[in-house]
Parts: sequence; C-alpha cells; structure tokens
Amino acid sequence: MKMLADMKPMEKGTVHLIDTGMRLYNRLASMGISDGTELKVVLNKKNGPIVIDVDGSRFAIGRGMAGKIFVNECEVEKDQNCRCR
Amino acid sequence: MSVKLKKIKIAVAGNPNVGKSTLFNVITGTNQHVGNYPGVTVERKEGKVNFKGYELTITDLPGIYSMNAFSPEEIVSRNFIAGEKPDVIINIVDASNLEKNLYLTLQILEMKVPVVLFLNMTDKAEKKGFEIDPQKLASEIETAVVPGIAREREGIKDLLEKCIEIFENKPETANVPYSEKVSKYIKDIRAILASENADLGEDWRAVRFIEGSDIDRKSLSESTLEKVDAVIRELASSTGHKIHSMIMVQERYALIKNVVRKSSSTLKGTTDPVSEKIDKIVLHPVFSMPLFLLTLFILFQIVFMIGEPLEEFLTSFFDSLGGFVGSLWTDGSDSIIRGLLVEGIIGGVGGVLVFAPYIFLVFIAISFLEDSGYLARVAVIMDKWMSKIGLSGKSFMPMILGFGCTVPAVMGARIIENKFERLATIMVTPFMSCGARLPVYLLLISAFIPLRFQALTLLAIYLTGVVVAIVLAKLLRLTVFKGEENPLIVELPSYSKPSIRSIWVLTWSRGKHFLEKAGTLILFASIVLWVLNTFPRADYEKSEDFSRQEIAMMRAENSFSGRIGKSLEPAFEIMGGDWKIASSFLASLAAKELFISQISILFAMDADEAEEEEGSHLLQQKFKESYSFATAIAIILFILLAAPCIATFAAVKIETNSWFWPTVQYAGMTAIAYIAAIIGYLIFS
Repeated sequence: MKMLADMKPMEKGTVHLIDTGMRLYNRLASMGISDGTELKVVLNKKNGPIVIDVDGSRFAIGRGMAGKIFVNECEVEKDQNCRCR
Repeated sequence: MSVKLKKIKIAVAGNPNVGKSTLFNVITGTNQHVGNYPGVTVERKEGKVNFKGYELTITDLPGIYSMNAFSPEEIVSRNFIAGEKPDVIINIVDASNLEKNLYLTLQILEMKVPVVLFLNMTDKAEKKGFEIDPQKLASEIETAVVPGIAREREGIKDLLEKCIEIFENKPETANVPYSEKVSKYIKDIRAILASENADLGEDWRAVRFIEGSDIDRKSLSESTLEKVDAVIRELASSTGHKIHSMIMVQERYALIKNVVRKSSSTLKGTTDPVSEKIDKIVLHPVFSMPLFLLTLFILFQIVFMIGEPLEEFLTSFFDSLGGFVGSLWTDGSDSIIRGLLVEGIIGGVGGVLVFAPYIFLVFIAISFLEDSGYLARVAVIMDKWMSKIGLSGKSFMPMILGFGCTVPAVMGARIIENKFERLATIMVTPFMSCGARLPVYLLLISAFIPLRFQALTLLAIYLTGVVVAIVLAKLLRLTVFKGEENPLIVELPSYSKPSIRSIWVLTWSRGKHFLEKAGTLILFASIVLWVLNTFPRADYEKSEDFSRQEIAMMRAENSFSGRIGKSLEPAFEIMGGDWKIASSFLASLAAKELFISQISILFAMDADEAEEEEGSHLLQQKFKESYSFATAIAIILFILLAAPCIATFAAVKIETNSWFWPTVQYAGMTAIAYIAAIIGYLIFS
C-alpha cells in the first residue's frame, strides 16, 4: 500500500483508504473515487497536481489530497494490463 | 383567438461535461436569459420554448456531481429542486460513463421528484463498446429513460414528449431500491425528523443526515438531533463503517453496479485516445507552461486586436453623437439640458458601450477555452504556482487580462469554482495596471524621468502593481477569505471541437446581462459625476476679461468637485499635492484617463489639446513647475493602486452579486493607494 502521491505514471491500483473528513469523502465519492475504485496514474511530476484515470475519466488531484488517498498497487504484467486483487 | 398554453417548469440537472449546456441550447435556442441566483455568484440560465401546445420553461442547473450541498452550485441545485418544485427534472447522463453519472441520479431520485433520464452520447458509448438497454435501465431504476445525442438533436422530441407525459399523468415516484437494512434506517430517521416538523419528513433529508451533511442540523432541536444521531450510530455499527458517509457511498455504488450490470454490456470505459495524446503535450512537464503562455498571448492578442478598433469606433461614434446633439443648441450655449445630454447621458452610456466589445470578446475566448476542454487543464498547469499565493490555477487568466482592461478581467474570474479564490481574485485584479492608466504614467514619466530610465520606471510601476496584488491575495486568503480546505479535485474532460453556436448563444446572453446591469449603474454614476463637475454654476460668461480656458478653469474650481478637492487639499499636502491633484483624483474615479483631462482644465488648458503633442508638452511643463519629483511618484502610485473605475465597480457588483464587496474594494484600494503614495513621497523627497 502506498500514497497516491507516491505512485509513478502508468502505475495502477485500487483505493484502499481515503483519510479525509466527510466533506471531501463525499465529494470524491460523487466523482467516482471511493474505496475499491481502480485507478491508473497518468501524470505525477515532482510538484503540482497528480492526474489519474478512473474508468476512462481523468481527474487532476492536488498533491495534498493525493497524500490522503492510500492505494494498493497492482502487479503490472508485460502488456501493461494488470489485475488488481 | 389566442390559445392559453399549459405551462410546464422543467429543470435540467447533470454532472459537468456531459453535454448539459448543449442539450439546453438545443431545446431553447437563443431564447435564453442569464442571471444569478439570489445571494450567490452562481449563474442562472433559463429559456422558454413552445412545444405541442405547452409552454416549457427550462432552467439549466449548474453542473454538479452530487446534491450534498457542499458547494454553492450544489446548494442552488438542491434548493431549486426542493423549493421551486419543478414539474419535471431532466437528468442528463453521459452514456459512456454511466456508473459515475448515476450517483447524482440516485440523489435526485431520493428527493422523490419526477425525473426523466436523458441518456446522452449513446454514439460515444457504442464506440467504446458499451451498449445500454434503455428499457432495462428504466425498469431497474423505475424512472423514464430517453436515449439520444444532444449534439445531433437526436432524441430531443422524445425527451420533451416524455416530459409532457409525466406532467400530465403525474406517475408515483418510487423509493430508491436501497438494501432493506438501509431503507429501514432511512425510514426511522425520516419519522424522527417528521415528529419535529412535518416538512422535514422526507427521505432525502434522512439520507443527508446519514451522509453527515450538517446543513439541516441547525434547524433541529437538541433532543431530535440526539435521537437521529443514536439511530445513525446504530446503523454505522451494524454496517461496520467508521465514517458514516461511507454507508451511503457503498450503498449507492452497490446499487449502481447492479443496475449497470443488468442493463448494459459490462465493458470497462477507456480514455479517449485522442485526448490522451493531446494531454501528453498539453500537460508535458516542460512544454505545458510555454504552451499555456503562448495560448494566452495569442488569445489576448486577438481580443485586443479586434476590440481596440471597435472601441475606437464606438468612442468616435459617441463623440460625434454628442457633437450632433450639442449642435442642436446655438454655439457656446450654456443650457443645462445640453450639458446633461451630451456630457452626462451620452458620455455615460458611451462609457459603458465602449467596453462592450471587450466583454463580448473575452466571453467568446473563455467559452472557447471551456468548450474545448483546455480550461480544465489550465488549473493543472498553473495550480502549483497560484496555490502558493492562495489563488486557483484559473486565477492566472483573469489577472493577465487585467493588464488590458479590468472590467473583462473581473468578468473572467467567474471561471474559478471556489468562492473564496474567486473573490480574492476579483479583489486583487484591479492592481494589475490596466491600459487606461498608461497615459497618466507616460505623462509623468516623460516630465520627470530622464529618457534612459523611462522604460525601467514603467516596468517598475507594473511590477509594483503585481507585487501588491500577490501580497494582498495571500493576506486575504489567510484572513477574510480563509474558507474551508479546498484541495484541487477537477475532472479533465475529453477534448472536443467547440460549437460556434453554443459559444455565441452563451456569449450573447452573458454580455446582455452585463450591459443591462452595468448600464443603469454606470449611467447613474456618470450623471452624479457630471452634477459634481457642473454645479453650482457661476456665470462668468458675460465677462470679456477671461479666455474660454480660464472660464472653464474657474468653473471647475467653483464646482462641487473643485470644492471637494479644496477641502481634501490638506490630505494631499503631505505628498506635495494641492487641490488640483485632489480634484483630478476624484475625476479619475470615473475613469483613470480622466485624470489628465481634469488636471488640464484646472491648469486652464484646453482638455482636448492636452492629448495632442504640443498640449502634452505644455502640460508636462506645468507639472514640472507645480510639483516635485517625489510628488510625481506619489501621483503614479495613487493612480496605480487607488479605486478602479466606475465600470469596474459595476462589474464587481454584478460578479459578487453584492454592494458590499465593490464598496470594500473601492475604499480599501484607495486607503492602500493613499498610504503607498505618502510612503513613496517620503522616500523620494
């Protein structure tokens, strides 16, 4: 498990825990990001927001927020497709 | 004989970027009205259309992801649905992204209102290999479903017919089929709420309590709250969720997954490959910034390239209109009506209308960026920098625009979603030195600064404005506009070709709204300023001893604004100024460039000549004779930092939907300018 903020581009995973208040939890959930959501990191620079792909939708998430989302990363197979457990 | 049409009130709700505006435009055409919801800066769009003997009034609710009432957009939408009770709600969803979209749908259905689900972009879904059976979906969520493609006008007729059918038959609205356990707890909480107040006994209110949205808590008594909380604790422990919000989130997604599985092929969504490629460049770690700056440069270049000749045209039009109306009186006539018409009304209305081309062009530019999908990326590109001073990544654009003209810049700040970031941006944007202030700088710089330092001085002036804006933005965000934590979470929509039609429709209705609102305010202010500059009128005309210019000067001195200037003289003496400066500052409140024409009148010069080369030299000469270098610096600082023009006041009034913020801005900026001018004077004297 690691923070979304620490994931590298092309890495995939499932959301394990979102450590925020209700307000942000509800906001993320309404956008399709909640416990168990599969996501792929598209862009993660040293600073600035992280861009993720959730089921074909792209989101930019601030670095602070991305430090509060914990993800179980998947094993990446050779063809870039991965199965999450 | 006219037939009375039956009236149906329809609201369109949906997530952002699902084609909601397109649907609204397709249904209503150009028959739209843009306004604001009372008390908030959320745009309210309404349109009317006659269809099969019915008059449909359609309200386009803001794009939202949920009804949790956390953002102004969500509160507005919820209050509209719960309060104004539209006859039918069209919930537009992106068929290619059904799971995410149905979250809002369930929250709307919880409110037990008549809903038609418009399954938009079915073509895009099919391309992704995602096929949905509308009938099955309809029976699963017990709601009418109409498939279609708004952009191609497919399914629109069916959709409106369905709305009429629902209006006429008023079918029972079913409960959202949540699990037995959760349904029972919803019922229990509803009963407790109803015992306090019958109006509160609604499912959706009960659900909001489980979710932890505390907006309704204030209206409840302590004992009721305790009872409700006890039930929620019981539910939480029985489901094993620590965060209450998780109960409803899990419940909804479980239901949604089930619905989607039963009504569609279960292929997973994929990103639009073209958008992915474009993003590789647009969000590139190195190229993103230069590309963004280049885009802005080109866009603003176009705005001011087209805007300037239009502004000049309108200016000369109003000048000749004023000249024509003035010529209806005999030459040199002293009629008050002539003065009011020419200087007050035509000058005033003209003062608004010359801004119109810029307003329209900026709205076109913004709509273009919005529609293409690039604007959402701007937040990503600039967030890193702008968040350091407490502003949004999107604040950058209006602030740059402010170097041209503050009015469209303030209007442009509406792209910023967060209320506090938007307010802070609006408050500091006037510090970005606009084009109207340039003539004043140029006059003073050429009078007092040696040639080789002139460009440097000009640069320093602009930088001073920027630094003040940055410091103030940071201060405002640390104090008044503290707000709640608002981390960046923004969806990046697929890129698409902007529709010229929808850009035009939106630009036209937004621009019209500005002209209607600002027009009356600016007209009023212009007349007030004209009265201040004109009365009381002393009769110098009969005297042969004075030239025309001298008479104008004496009149100005004797007028209210001259007298106010004189009474303010002590305040400006500490920076080496006199009543002429004070009175010219007063005039510059209407528009900054008026500083020059006012002071040239007070120097007994012809105001029109001051703009010509020879007159300008003469004016520089007079400045050098009357004031010191340090005073010139003080004047520059004051013009740079003091209250912006009347048109800006009107724009801020419209955009913040309050009198409070523009008033605070005017007073605050003038105070800052005054202090800065004194400090500047003391340093350089």
